[in-house]
Amino acid sequence: MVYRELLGRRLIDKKIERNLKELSLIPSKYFEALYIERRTEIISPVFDLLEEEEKEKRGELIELLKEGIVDTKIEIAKYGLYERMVDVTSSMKEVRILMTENVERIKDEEYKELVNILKDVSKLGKIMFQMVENLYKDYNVALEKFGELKNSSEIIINSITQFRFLDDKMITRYNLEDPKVLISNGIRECIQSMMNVGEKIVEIIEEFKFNS
Amino acid sequence: MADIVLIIMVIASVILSFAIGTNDETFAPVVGVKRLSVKSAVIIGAIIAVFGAFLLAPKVSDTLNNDISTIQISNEIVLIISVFISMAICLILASIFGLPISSTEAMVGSILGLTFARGEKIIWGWEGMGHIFFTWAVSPILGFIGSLLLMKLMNKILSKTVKGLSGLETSNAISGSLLLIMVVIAGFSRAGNDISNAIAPIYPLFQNPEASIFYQRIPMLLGGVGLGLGLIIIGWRVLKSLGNDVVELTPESAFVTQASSALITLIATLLGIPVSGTMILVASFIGAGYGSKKPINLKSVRTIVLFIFLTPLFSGLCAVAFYYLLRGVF
Repeated sequence: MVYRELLGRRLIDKKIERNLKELSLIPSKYFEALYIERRTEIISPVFDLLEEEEKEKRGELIELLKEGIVDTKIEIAKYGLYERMVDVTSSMKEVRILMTENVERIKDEEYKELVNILKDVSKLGKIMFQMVENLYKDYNVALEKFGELKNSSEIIINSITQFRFLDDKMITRYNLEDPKVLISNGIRECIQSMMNVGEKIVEIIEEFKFNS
Repeated sequence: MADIVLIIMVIASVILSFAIGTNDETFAPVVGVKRLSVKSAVIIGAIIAVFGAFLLAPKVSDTLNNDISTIQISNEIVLIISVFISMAICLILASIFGLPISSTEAMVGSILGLTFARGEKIIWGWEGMGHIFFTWAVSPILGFIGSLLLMKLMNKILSKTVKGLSGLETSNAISGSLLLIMVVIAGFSRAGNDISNAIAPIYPLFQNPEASIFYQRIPMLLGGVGLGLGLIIIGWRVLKSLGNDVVELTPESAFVTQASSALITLIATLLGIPVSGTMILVASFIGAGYGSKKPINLKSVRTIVLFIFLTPLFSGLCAVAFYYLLRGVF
């Protein structure tokens, strides 16, 4: 036990780092695959592989976080980041389910519009991955990437808000039964969870950065 | 009769060593940064205490036994027991509440109280109390300044070298390892310094020039074992409270805390000066916390400082009370 406390910690840290990075790359790959699948209408086997990988990474991370000392601030912060990443992976799977369920109910034009957005969300996922990568490598680059993540998110969310309409009292509303709104809300939720990952990374940097 | 006296004094010494062990906060920074669990910390601490007391205690014992008072306490069993009981009560009570207090202070307070009560002469000059007051006053100041400067220097280096979380974790691992080395040094030197309080009166009884070195060092060995047991049975409370309550520690600031306090204590022990390890360590905690701009729990600090001032008074009064009580019995 003493040996593990003295020498095993760094190995666990390294494994957590690798798994967090790999988990953060999955949403980007998933949305890329979803975009290709919906464009070509060829069912892709990649989703099963990605979902399996995601499950595996989550399992490994939870075990590693248990092995580590979870009551130090840095471990708590990493656990918080892990939880937010899990939100992203959960909401990305939700988007695919919504698209499959509503494909028959939605107009072709609107569906294509949403499919194009998937490409941008995939790019957003890549930026999120780069943030996680640079959280470990270079805080300043990670902060720059957060700026990119924020700007790209705003652009995508603005393109989604065109599904709003004005009601009788001239208040902006969404028709929550409309399939395009259901799907776009799913996408927006996923983008929001990616932003949450970004914000958590900024929080970690602010907390652990050394100031002379 | 001489054998019975020797046995009683040895038992009293072991009990006091146990009490000192209950209040040994050396491993608090390691526990504070969760580098070691409390369980591992007390086991390692106990082993180090035995070796430290065996190897380093004799030098300080000579100083304490000869310089403070004109009372030759080793000649009077009632006096010794009174001092030991009052010290043990102070230390164990404080430990139960998780408060670190100084064993050196408790001992000096007891001896001073008895000296006053018996109307004996106290040596206030540099050769006696003056020397001790000076080291008590200077040690915390050195501890604070040393840890503050070291923390500033460390922050400057780390802000330039640590670019990301990976670098931070490497820094934490290195600081954690250095912290453990420092804890071992501090454990050795503190065991030497603190156990000398418990064994000072019985130490001369074992100094037969014809006996082996091992026989001469039996008091230190017994003291070390007692200290180790005290650390394991009650000492974890102090480790938990000082490690977690005073200031938020990082591996870097904990290393700085330990480095400055270990170095000052070690130098003092090698010079034969009875310093208060508690004062140095608490001051180092505050210095490192201030240097790393972490919030300091002033309420905890105030309580610790208050008890540092009250310890000699309380132990002095206890010793006098027990002296008159025991004199009636013997």
